[in-house]
Amino acid sequence: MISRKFVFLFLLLLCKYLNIFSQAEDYFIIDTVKFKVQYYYQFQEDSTNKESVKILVQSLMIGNRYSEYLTENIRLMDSIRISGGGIGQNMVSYAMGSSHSFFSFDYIYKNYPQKRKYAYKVYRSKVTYIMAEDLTFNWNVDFTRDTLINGFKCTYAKCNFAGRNYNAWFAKDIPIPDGPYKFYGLPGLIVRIADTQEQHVFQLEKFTKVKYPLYIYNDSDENYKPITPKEFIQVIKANVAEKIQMARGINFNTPEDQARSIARLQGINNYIEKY
Amino acid sequence: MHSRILILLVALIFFNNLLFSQQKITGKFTDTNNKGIGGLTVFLKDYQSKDSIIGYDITSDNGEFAINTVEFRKNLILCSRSLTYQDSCIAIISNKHSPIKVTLKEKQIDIESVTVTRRGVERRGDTLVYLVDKFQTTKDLSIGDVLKKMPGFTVEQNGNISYQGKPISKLFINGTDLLEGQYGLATNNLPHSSVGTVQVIENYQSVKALNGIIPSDAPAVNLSLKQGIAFTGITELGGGGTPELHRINVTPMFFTKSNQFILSFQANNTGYDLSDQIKSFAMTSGVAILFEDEKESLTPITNIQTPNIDKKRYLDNNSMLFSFKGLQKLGESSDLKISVNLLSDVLEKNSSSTVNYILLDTLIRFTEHIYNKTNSKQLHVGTIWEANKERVYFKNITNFKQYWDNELGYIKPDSSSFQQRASLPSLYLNNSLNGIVRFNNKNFINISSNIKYWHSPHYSDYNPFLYNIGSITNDSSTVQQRLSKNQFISTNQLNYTHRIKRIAMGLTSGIDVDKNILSSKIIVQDNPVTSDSLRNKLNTLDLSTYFSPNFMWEKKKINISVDVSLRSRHIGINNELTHVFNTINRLTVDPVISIRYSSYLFNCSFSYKYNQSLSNPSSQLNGYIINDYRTLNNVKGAISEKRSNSLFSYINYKNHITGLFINSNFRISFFESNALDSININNNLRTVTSITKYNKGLSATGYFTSSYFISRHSITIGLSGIYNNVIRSVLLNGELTKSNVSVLNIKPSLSIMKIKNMSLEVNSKFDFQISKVGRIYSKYNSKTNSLKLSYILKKMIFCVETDLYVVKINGDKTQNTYFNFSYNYNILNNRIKLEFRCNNIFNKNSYAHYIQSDTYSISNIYMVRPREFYISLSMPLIFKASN
Repeated sequence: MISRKFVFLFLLLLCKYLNIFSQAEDYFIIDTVKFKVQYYYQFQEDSTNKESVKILVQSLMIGNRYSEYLTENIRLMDSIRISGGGIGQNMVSYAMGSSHSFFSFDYIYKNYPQKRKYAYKVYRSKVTYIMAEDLTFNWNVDFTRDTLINGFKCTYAKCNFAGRNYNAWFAKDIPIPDGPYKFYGLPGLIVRIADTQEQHVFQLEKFTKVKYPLYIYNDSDENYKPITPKEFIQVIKANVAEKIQMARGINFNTPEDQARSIARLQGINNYIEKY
Repeated sequence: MHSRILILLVALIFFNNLLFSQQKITGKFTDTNNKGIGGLTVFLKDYQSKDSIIGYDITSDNGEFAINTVEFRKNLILCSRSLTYQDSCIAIISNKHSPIKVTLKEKQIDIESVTVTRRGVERRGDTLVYLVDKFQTTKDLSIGDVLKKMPGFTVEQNGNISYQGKPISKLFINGTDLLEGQYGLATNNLPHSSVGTVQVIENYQSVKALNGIIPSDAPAVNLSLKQGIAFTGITELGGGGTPELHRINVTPMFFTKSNQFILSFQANNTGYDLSDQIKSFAMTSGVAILFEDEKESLTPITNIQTPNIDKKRYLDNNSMLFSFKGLQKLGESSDLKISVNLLSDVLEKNSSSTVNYILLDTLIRFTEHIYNKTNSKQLHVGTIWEANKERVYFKNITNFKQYWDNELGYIKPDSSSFQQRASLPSLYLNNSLNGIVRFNNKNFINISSNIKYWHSPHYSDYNPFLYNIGSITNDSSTVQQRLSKNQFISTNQLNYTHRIKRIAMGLTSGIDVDKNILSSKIIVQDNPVTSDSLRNKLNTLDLSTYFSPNFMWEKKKINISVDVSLRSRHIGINNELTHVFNTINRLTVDPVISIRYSSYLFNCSFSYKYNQSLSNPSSQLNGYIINDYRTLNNVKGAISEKRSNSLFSYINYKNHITGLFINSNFRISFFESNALDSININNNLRTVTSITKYNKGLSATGYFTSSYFISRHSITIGLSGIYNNVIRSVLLNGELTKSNVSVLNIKPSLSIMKIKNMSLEVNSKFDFQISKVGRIYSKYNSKTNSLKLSYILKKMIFCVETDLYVVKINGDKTQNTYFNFSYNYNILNNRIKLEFRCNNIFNKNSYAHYIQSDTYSISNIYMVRPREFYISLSMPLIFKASN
């Protein structure tokens, strides 16, 4: 815990010193956060290795009109962003979450720029990308099936999305049609959603009513390269291949360390979306 | 042409029906300023059944919605919900009102913040992960204390761990199997504070070369140490009085990537059984199952049935254990393990018992006061070399065990007194080899060989022996019995398995050899008895060769396997006293078929087995041997043959989200045999023989266990039950009779980890037993309630433990209640625990219990440990690695 705080402060000071956040004016408030929902995202990094399970904490910031979904360590960096930031800050967040960077979701704005649309902004391989599409899910809700998850009375729904079948449980009592990642459109907040093989699992850990001023920021789309989700998978694959190439060129302490490092990178093959 | 028109007409009629069966409700939600409200959740409900939702939509930016329903319904209710507008519900008539316009007033809905505490159980891939800190209480010290509270786990009194009704196949620490089945040492001495998670890997295939070819249904458990912990363990020092009490435990453990070791020195006379820590509960190695070797006591003294309650209540011991377990990695995938155990155990047992032997319509009763003192010393040395690679698996286990056991007993049936002594030393040598070579993804060869040797020269004397039989006189002279057994067993197996997509086919063949040399003689007044009916010199050979084709088909969730074993068995019995040589040759066919279904939450299995077996010739006797001061035993006659048809099924459900774990199984077996137990009691001398007579019977066992973990309140609720019914024939004083014994055992339990400053554990057990043998009918039930209540403050814990035992035998009721009190104080920021304990506060000195079999019943009053005071200091050893 101490070491994480130390890294955070160090990076903050470093950023300030290098003055890389010189584009504060590029950011603008699009909404005020009313609820903050924290999800626990558990994923299997390597589709062939059931042991390769990792966990990330992620947040859904719900405003009056829009919502923003992002990985928790990136959200922490928002405090830097408020004081001035730009594309460069993504590098910091990238460095912070380097061990999970391939699977962390940078910024997903839902109902943005209009209802039932989303904008997903990411930084990969020194390029900033934007994916903008409709929020369309073929939900099949079974109002007769319910269960209790972490104290929330939940109703069952299922859907097929980006190459996987999902089972979802949502809380009708919280009339927010939102959820983790891109998932949207159920008549209640999604409490748990997992693919049928349980390789990607999101589960609600904390639902907080925000009582202090907290805003959803966005920046201009002009700095981002438009891309489709399918193309983004190719970017990730290229990114992994690049890292493997880098690992081959680095002098490790022992050949075993190098082989282990390459094998670990080769095992990063199970991104949430598959086409 | 006509047919086209016909199709068109049918399509039109069908489409028309569809038009009528579906409906679309559209509309718009606006605020008081007539501005559309976006993001509203809109539900459509049936007017008749108001709770059933038939459709929903989320309004667009301008407040519009459109809901399609599958069935046409005229009378409907339209509801809306949002966080910023009032909830609304209006009745509509579908054809009349659509599109609908609804105006809503603003209203802020308040939803409270909720923080979900981490669940105790999580699923990561096919591994269930139990978070130790969710199940631990301040009072717990070792990981074994915490495992008992985890749903799905059963930890028996002897330390045996089962998961969902199956004994665990492996217990790893940080992914390495140092313990090889002797996991009591770790579970009792590894502090829970050094363990981060307990991981359960179901269907764990420990042999890499078999991965993807042979599925496994054995669960394995990994204790994952907290990050950076390399050195851990427990130290404990305690003493007390009435009588003098001591307890010492120094158990350091060291875990790194390349080597691990556990060193333990323990000594106590406080009722803590150390022998459980060096017992091997389950030993599997790939597809080869190693033998569980228990020492046989050939001529023990009269046994005392111990009560089925917490051992620490009654075990009168003076024990010492030295144990070393070490593992050295020899490369990426091979390691060498060394294990040394030295145990000294002195046990005293004291009881008054009434034994009722059932003989048709009469009972023959013996009332005896028995005192036994056993002194056991054991040395075990073992080495294991294992290489576990993708293509090749190799494991060699070598064991040496030496036992120096002595027993002394005094029996007072009435005013007379009898003394029994037995010396029961044994030597055991064993080598087990298992090798697997995988050629590709389709086929492999598995070779296994297991050789073991027992040498047991046992000796006993009875002073005096109660009855006159043969040349034994019933005066006060000492009767001695010398019994020696040398046993050599070798089992060798070769298996070839070939896999084609979903089908695995295999051939297994092997040869088993079991050779025994048994001799016994009875000595009276230093003169050996020469009568052949009272001595033995038998040389037996059991040679078995088999050929077993097997077939397995699996598709995702379903697995079907068929195994047919053809076995040729040759048995030779050479009586060296009478020079009679008997041989038996049999060819048997034993088919097994099983079907297994497994899914994410649920799995079940059904299997059928037909089995033909011959009794082991090593249990044969020519002449009687003395079992105790009033029992002679003889198992002579033909080798018994048994045929059985067995059905077995199990259902297993686990849901880590709801915290519910259920497991149940049922087994029924119909058997027929040509041998029967014949029990005779004449002049109070009991003789047990086996005679040739056709008989049949059945045995049925049902087992159910469930546990439910409520993570929000840290409560585990459990319920388990066992039902057992055996119907068989027995020959009592020459008359054939049926015995029918039914036992039902129910165990509810509740464990509340912590409510404010309290933690509570409640366990109950109800036993019901009904038996009918001949015309004798008996009924027995018992109730056990134990409660452990702790009051926890910042640095101290007060704990009260009570055990209530109620036993009812044929209407007669006895009750035993025991109380313990303990006070724990944590020193140096929980690094050292000081415990003061008073056990059996009201100094109850005995426990009454009852044992029922189909031929006898025992009412036993067992002397328990008296009131005692005890103070101890214990310290978990936890050091983090510098890197």
